[in-house]
Amino acid sequence: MAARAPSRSYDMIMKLLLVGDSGVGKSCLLLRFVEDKFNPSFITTIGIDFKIRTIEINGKKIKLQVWDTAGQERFRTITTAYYRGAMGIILVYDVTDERSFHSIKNWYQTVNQHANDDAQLILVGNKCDDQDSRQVSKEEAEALAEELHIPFIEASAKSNENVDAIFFKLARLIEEKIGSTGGAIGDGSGGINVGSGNSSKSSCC
Amino acid sequence: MSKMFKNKPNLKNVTNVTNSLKTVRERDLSTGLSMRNFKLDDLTRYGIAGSIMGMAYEPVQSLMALSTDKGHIHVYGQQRVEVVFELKTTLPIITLKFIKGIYLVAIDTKNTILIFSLSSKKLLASYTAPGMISSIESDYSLDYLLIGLVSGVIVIYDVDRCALAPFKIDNLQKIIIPEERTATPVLSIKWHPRDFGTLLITYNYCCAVYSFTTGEIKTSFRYELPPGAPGGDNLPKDDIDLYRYPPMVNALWHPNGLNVVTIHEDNSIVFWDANDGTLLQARTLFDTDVNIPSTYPIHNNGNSKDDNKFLTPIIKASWICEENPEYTSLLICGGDSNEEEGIHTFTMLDFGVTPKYSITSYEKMSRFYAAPKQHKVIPIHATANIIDFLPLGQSSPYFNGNHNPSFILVLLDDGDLKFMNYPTGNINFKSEIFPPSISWINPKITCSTATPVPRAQWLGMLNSKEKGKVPTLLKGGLPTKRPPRSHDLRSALITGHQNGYIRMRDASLGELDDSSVLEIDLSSVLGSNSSNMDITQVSFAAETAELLCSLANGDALLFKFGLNKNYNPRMSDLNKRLQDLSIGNSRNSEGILINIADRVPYYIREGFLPVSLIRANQKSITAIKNSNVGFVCVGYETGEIIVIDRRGPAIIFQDNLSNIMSKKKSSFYKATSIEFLIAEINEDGYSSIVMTIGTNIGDLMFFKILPYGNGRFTVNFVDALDGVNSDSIKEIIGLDPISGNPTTARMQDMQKLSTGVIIQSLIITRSSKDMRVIKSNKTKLSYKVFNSVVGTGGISMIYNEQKKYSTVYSVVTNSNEIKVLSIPSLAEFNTLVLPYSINPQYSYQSVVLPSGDVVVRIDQTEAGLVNIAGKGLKQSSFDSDILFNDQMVIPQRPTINTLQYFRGTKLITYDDFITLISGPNRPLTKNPESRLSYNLSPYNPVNMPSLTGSSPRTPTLGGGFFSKGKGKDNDDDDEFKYDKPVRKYNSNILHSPVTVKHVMRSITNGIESIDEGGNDYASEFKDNMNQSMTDTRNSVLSSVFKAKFGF
Repeated sequence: MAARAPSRSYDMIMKLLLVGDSGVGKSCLLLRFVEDKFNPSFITTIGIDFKIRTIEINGKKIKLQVWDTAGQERFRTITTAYYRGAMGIILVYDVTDERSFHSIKNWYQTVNQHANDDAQLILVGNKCDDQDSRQVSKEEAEALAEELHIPFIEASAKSNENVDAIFFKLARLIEEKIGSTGGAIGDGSGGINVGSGNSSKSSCC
Repeated sequence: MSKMFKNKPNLKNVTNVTNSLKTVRERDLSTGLSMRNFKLDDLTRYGIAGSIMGMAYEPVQSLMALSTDKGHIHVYGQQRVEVVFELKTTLPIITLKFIKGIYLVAIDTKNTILIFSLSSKKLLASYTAPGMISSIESDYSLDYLLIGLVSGVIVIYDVDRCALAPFKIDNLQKIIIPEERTATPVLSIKWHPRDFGTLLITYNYCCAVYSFTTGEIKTSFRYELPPGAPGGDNLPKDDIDLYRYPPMVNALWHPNGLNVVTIHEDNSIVFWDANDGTLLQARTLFDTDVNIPSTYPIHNNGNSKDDNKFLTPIIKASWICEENPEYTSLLICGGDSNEEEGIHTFTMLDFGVTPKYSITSYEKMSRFYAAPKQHKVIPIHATANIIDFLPLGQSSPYFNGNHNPSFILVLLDDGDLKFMNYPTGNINFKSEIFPPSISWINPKITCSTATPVPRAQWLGMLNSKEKGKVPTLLKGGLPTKRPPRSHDLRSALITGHQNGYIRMRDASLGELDDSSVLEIDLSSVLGSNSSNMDITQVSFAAETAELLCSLANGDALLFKFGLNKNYNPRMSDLNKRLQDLSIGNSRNSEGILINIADRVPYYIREGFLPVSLIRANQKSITAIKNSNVGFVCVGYETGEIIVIDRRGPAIIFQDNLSNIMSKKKSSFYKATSIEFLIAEINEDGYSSIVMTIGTNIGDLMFFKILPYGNGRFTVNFVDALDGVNSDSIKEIIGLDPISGNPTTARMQDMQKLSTGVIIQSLIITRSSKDMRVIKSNKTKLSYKVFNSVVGTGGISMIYNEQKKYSTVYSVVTNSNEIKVLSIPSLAEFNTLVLPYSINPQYSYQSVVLPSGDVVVRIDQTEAGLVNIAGKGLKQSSFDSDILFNDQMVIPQRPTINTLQYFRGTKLITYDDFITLISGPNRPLTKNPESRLSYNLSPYNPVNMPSLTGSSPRTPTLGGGFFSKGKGKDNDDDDEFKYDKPVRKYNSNILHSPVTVKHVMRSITNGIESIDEGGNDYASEFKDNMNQSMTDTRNSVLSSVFKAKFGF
């Protein structure tokens, strides 16, 4: 057999979802974060795209599994599969499209209905580079984030502003949550069983 | 306004004259016909009986085969080419394989192997395997069927000679793992994609690369998980501190034959080097390196792993390649949802171009398989589970059938078949692409109806489709000529399907020809997440080209045929329609009638464009009618009816039938049939637009639609006739008592109303138990009780002995008969016995056409076309279609690359291989198929120069083959060059369309405009005829006015 070092390349795995209306730039955010590319042409995602990037937080290698969909998660047959075990959910709207911002509350309800109660949410206004077309002010969004009790970031996949920040912030919040609850996140129906009963081991590697 | 007619119903003036007395005086509309005019022609069958079990496709002859649980095998080719092999055993056929261009191998559930000839269309041989079959392998170019048995032994059947070959392969697991004593079945056998002398054989605990040439195991793979390694999602975690060996279920070759993937019971997916057995990467659908001990007992797919919660198993995987076979993806079905949720998704791992073997390290290959270029989940939106899939590899029959598929055939456990576009993953229902018999049931039919159509208009509508854009999937076979039939009477056969599809075809042609189908896809209008969009009823107003349909969720939609002002074929439509998924919820203020005209899909140039959505929230819809004079009526389960004037559109009447009939007994009323007539009722002294409604308890209600001023109309309840039928009225027809012409409300008659013309009408009402003919003055003429339940009925125009058309009424009964009745006396001309038994559950979906054709719904997925005034033709009196084309030389099988060649892989020649397997005493040929297939064989020396100009032993380093491939990265390394199979003859020889739709193309939609003359009924009528109505008349109708009944 090969002489590969028998070690796994990460300490922790997190499943994150991108949700939001079609066209708000979910796929672009993902592509920018994982491959540092930007492709402005609009190709509608069919099914669910899935990408991985490993980041490091507090000395821990965290493998982020990011799922990106095309609104099809509303279909009952796969909704449960899609939300199952999600630890972080990124609610995306387009700052140049008021309608996508108004949809956020619907998305928030959908998420609450299907995701784990302790899943960490974050609100993201994409396309903040395009100040000329802006329809949603930062203040409006901040007010909504406060109402929903979730953090908020404006970002741009195009200019690469704050893209990493979204994922790092979310991962850090999840990591803290696990730390504070002794690794209980995801317990119960369909959650990720991260370090349950073995959290002491988690720092070694 | 809608409630203005609350006044009491008029006193009914039913004249109780006896039937016999009156009938005598009535003109016989069925004159000149007798029993001799009615014989049954059994013309065609559509669809498939039973559930689909097996699927096969081959790109050389370009045919597809489907087998059913009833022991039928359907083979499809171009256009309507279809041959059905029916077996007497009626055992389910579970496996199908095309071999050597001419053989179709089928295997039933009792381990019987059946060899059919596509040339003679006969069974050549049958053979029962010496034990339970656990796996099967064949290669398109080779003579043999490899049969893996439950005992672990592989026997080989010589398909060409219809005999078992002497060569056998023993259970190799006993050699690889001697300590594993329990018997193992052969779980999978896969021929090396580039060397037919090598096999990949899967047993339960190991997998072996076996060489025919040396008779030895070249390499073997055994999946071992050390303590602490998580393994696959379904591996119990109790034994994590031990060494574990998750059992295998399948193994596949990489298309280059250098790597292998094994699929395991725990849903591990493990990649190996095929030459030395090195494990490259062990992963699951979403996690990697699962064979490496982890400090984190994490569960990969985000599943909490309590012991009783398992994920669905991976039921199948295919290693698919593009035109350039180095560009590969792995398509996996199952493994990512909880067991109780069932299997509804595929996972695609798109690896892109494979790194060059010679310069790639194991580590690099490990990363290659750990991080696909694209990784996605493709859901199949259906409540049914996926049970099988088949990639339709179109570039060659090799690489296990996975060479460059554009479609994946997906089989669901409710017997539904879906075509998934690959690699995009959306479901394709485009009816032109697939064989008519399949698109007829794909998606499943939920209702069917027929409407007579003016010929010129109809041809114009059909012609509006953009033709030639989508090539058909199958190009093989040749349809045989059928006796020509006259097509004077044009009608549109309309089928409503699951998932919101409506299709309209020309039923008069006598054949389902899917090159002339008009399709409405409601999901492109409503957004695809509306619940239950099955179509329950369709009503088409041919003269105004308007259509009304009802959905299972209680919605109804209005469409109008026309040009799309927003036509833009390049615009991504998906984007627009996904933006606004919820109609109505947020805009309830708009009320019942919601404008959806802005939802026209961009890609439609001309066709049925959405106008309004009727969302009344009155439970399900029980009856609908779109009249030819711009009025629409919808009846609901609650008894509510809504009448809409399409000139607006606006609701002009809404009330509950029980409310209207309140004077009467306390019965609960709902509409079960609706018809708009132009006739005089109750001896009014004038004619008017009459809306008749048949109710659930057999009463017939009459309403008048009258002008009201300002171009508005009122709907006035007149009276009702009690107990016209003994059960719910399913159909109402109006006929002129003298001419036999329909008195259905039409524009031309509406215009005559102003002259005070009096139009008499017969009214025929039918329930499933009886039927009655009355006159419009309510005189009862005749009555007939059926002795078996009637599914459907309808008027036909039959040529009589005076060479004129006479009118008859036919009913399809649940005792498999068609009864032909005279009008108005309802005397029985003849009872025609159908050549099949029909499922009473679907008989109401049968359709009687004016031409005398009857589309009989035999079962949910099967229909038959018969003619009631035929010559007594049977199915056996028609020649079956031709399937086999003796010109299609089989492309050369791909061979191994130079590297493997120089490394000493011993390739075996075809002749040596035959001798090795069949021994020196191979049986002589006994069927002409042997010669025919050898003529096409790539191993026939005659064909070699034309195929590649070189022997199959030497890899040819030809250039330019990759330019067309989807793989962007052209690989210039000679080592991986692969010769694209070529055909000896131009593939168009047989594949070009044989019958041309000559008429369709010559007539365009631009019908000459007509004068806006004629008399005015009332000035309101004329003045307020909405512009859109006028437009329709001028653009689509013209010749309508001459036409009576559309001919």
